[in-house]
Amino acid sequence: MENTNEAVEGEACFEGKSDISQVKKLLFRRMLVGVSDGRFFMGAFYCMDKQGNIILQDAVEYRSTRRSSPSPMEQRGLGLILIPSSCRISCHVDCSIDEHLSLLSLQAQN
Amino acid sequence: MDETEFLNSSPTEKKGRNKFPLLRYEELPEYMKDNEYILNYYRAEWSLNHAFVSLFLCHNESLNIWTHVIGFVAFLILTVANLTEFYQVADFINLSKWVFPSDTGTPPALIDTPRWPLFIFLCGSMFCFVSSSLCHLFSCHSQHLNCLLSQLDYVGIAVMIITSFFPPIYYLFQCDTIWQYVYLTTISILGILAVIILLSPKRTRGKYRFIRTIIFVAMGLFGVIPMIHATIVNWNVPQRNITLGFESAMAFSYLIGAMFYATRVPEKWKPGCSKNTQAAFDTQRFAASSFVIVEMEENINNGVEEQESENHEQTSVPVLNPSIPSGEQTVWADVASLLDSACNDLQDGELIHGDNFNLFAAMSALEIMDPKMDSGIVCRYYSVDEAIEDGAAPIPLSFNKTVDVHCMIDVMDHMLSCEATWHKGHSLAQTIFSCIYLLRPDRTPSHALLHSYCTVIRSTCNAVISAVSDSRTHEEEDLFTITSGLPLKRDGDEKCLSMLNVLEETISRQLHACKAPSHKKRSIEDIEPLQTNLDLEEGYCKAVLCRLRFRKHFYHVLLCLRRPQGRGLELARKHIASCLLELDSILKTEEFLRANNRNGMWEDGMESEDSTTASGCQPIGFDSTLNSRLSAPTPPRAIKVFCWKKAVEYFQKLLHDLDIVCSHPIDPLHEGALRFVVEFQKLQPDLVARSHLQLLLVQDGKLFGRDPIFTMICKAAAIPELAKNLDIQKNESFVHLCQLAITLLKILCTNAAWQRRQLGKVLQDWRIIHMQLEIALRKEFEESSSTSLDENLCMKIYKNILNWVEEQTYWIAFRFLILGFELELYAPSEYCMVYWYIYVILIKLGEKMHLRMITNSETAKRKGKKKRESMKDVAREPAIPPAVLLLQCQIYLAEGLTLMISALRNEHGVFQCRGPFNSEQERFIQHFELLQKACIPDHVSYYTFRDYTAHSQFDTLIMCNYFKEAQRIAKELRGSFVNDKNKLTELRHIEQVAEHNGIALNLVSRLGSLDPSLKVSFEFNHHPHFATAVVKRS
Repeated sequence: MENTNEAVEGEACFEGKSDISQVKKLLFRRMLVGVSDGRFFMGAFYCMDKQGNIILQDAVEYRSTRRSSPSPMEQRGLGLILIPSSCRISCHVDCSIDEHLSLLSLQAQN
Repeated sequence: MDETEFLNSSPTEKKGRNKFPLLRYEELPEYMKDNEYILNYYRAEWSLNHAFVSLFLCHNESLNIWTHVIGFVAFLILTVANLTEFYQVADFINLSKWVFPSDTGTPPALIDTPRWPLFIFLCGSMFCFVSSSLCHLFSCHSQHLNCLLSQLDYVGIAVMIITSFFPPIYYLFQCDTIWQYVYLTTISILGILAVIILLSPKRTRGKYRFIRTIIFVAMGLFGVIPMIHATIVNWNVPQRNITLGFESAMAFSYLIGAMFYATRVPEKWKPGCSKNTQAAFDTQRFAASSFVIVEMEENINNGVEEQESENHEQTSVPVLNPSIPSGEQTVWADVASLLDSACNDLQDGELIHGDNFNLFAAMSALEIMDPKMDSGIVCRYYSVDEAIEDGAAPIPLSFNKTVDVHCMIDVMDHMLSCEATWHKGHSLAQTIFSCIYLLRPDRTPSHALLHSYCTVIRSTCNAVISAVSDSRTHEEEDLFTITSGLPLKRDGDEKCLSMLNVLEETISRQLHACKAPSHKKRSIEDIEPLQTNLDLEEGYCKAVLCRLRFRKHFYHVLLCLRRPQGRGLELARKHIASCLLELDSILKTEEFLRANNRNGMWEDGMESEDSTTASGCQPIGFDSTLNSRLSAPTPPRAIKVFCWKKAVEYFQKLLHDLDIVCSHPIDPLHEGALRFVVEFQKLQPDLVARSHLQLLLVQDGKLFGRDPIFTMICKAAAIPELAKNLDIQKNESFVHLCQLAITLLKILCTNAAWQRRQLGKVLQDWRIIHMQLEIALRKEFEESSSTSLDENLCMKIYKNILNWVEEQTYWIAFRFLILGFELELYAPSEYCMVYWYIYVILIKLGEKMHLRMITNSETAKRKGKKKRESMKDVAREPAIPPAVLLLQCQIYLAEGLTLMISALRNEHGVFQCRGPFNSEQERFIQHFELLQKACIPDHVSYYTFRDYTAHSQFDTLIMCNYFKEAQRIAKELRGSFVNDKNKLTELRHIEQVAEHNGIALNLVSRLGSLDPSLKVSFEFNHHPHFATAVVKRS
């Protein structure tokens, strides 16, 4: 855990570039993106552009079967998808608890 | 029961009467004379101790006191229960659950929302009950205390009213904090003002009763404003009705209570009868309203939470759904802000991507939330179940039986439109199965009409799908047979016909009953009418009946067509006839249905041209977006369901096509079958009709399921009967040939584009089989020296078969070329080479056909000679068979057109291939690559074509006018095809084309060089693939 913290701090010194390199580290990690109509997409993070549009590989769509929140989820495979930033509402990455903490600390710095 | 007696006999009462007697209204001190309608059993000037003891005594305030005490205790329990989050207790008052059935069976999740408004309300209520109890208990003590306590009582009521507004306003406007503050502040200020007014001692007296009431009512009514506001804001929230219900219940109970209080109604009507009076009703009002309010709070909480989560989704980060698992020992970390800041740091056009990223590959990504790419966008409902719960597909369709039948007819009509749309190439999921009733077959059994209709629709779909997928007449990319995830098969569907019969029986009896004169009616009254309006009964019966009968007959048609060896064809034709009749009667019901729609039962939502139902109403229970994602992950296709009229027209055409299929004589001639298919294709039949034709033609690898293909080929190629006994048909290349013949028949049943592609591919196979047979023939020839007996026969068989194969090959090539015209693949500048190719192939085809016919007639003659030994036939031998002559006509036309166009090119410089992208040779290869690869015909190339056309001139062309020749032969041939309608029309078309082209040729050759403004164009107005020249002066 200390190592990761140090790495984060080290990268923070590269003014401005730290965020980009952080995101680059997330490539091909499992990413969970929520969109504005309530669905979620989980897939491997493949690409992101300046506008914040995200491309996911081997994506799976999750949707709840009911409008009320605690309801079973349906899922289906979609493959390669592009999620425009305009309809993206949340974005999570699958990571270990240590990493999670380092991310949080990074956000605190910013 | 007379309560006075009861009271007087009570020992406590007697005891109390000695020191502290109960007084009559007249005996009261002035300050206590509040309600002149309550005549008796007053307490007055009692000490505090006695007043307290009177809690357990009987007087005219007992009930008031006790109801308030009970109210207080109830609210205390509620408060404690809510504090300890012990929901079962809070729920035990869910008396109104069955009054306003709500869909939330789970305990309300209050944990996440702030609950202080609810506690404010509970405290306010408890304060009110306590103060009221005290007031009623001790107001008999003295004037001073009476005045004080009354004020306390009124303050309590005001506080309760004010606090009762806290929870609803707070929760309803949780997403809009400004309004929350505005309303809460206003109501608090109003409350304080009311308290100040009430506290002025003058106004405790009875004569101000009305003013007090007004104040209370005004406070209560203030609540209407935020409620209306909230209703407008949250109009789309599913719990809207429930919340509204509780709100109005609350307002109603306030008003009722206020009314009793102001008018003093019960005691006013019967003074002195009851000792428990006005105040009792006060209490009841409070109790009732409080319970309703508490209940409302619970429900509002539920509603609001859902609302909240929705609103949040649009405005801020949604709560991460816990059911999407992260990896083992990992968590979902929010990186939204990290991504945002990284975006800011990125340069324009810069991407964050991995090593193997490929922009081209990324272009193929499905764009989420793009309606043209994303089939899963949540439109109205998240799922079918949710749609059903929301009442999108009620069963029965309406509780009014007339409306129910009308809606049912709409459903039937829309389903018909959907079915036609499906047949025309849309996916089943988006058309027929947009019907929610079909998606949940378990719900329908209670509604006989709906259930049987759904069942027969499912069975019909199954039958059609199995026909199409067995015949494989659909293209690879056709969605037709995709049924993934749809409840297409269900136990008991095989009983659909008997179910339909039963229904038909009942309804037709009912129809008879309502047609019968009134005196007969009584005898058949045991029949349950279809609907309640007797005047409309006949019309509705007819409308339902013809629709059911159409379904029944159509299903029969499909079943009969699938019977082996064409045994059901006769029966199928009968059912087709009844189907068409029923379709006519369905069309006739339109007027009746429209008229009843106009009566004002529904608003006319759609234009009649676009309407998918006869009545013009929108049908109930359809939502095409619900399962559009079943066709995933392909993008959703835009779909427009046929209008009802077009759907009926489609079915009429389908039935006519099927009738033609059924009317085809089961004739084991290969050529006949081919010709029939080609003629049938000219009608442009749709997928379903074509697949049934194919299934009829080819069954179990045999023609009509009866005649083995080999026998058929033998007949076609005029092979002597003896050959059937030989081992030849076990020869590998013969087996292969049989397969090719079957494939050819199957290909001819597909649509034009697919057919052309497949024909082009299959040509090579025919060429190969020809080569194989040639090799076999040579082998046979070498071996034949040893077995001289069969030599002659074997040679003959091989020669005939080889000839037949070649004829077939050229026929396929010819069809391949003319399908190009049908599909409009050729540009006018390419007509020259296409007609040249057609000409070359037709010559070969004619040759082979002639040869076959000569051998045919020879065998026939030999037989005849054996019998009759007539010599007359020999003289007529050189006569060319009419079929060959017809080909000759076409050859002349093709040759004439080729030379005419090339002459135009050579002399006038028009119709030349001068594209910027490819030369004429390249186009030649593009069009005829498949023919060239298969060497059809041998030694033909672009150069042959160029040499042939290079020197054509109008002068030489006019000398030997091919069009005149064609016209002449066509005229002569008419007599030979008297019985063949198709051939006659073909001849007529050829004649017309030849005549027009002959005139055009003369015109151009005479005037062309003199008048440069003469323009020649080619049109297909007389023949589908032989062009007519049109000469115009520009």
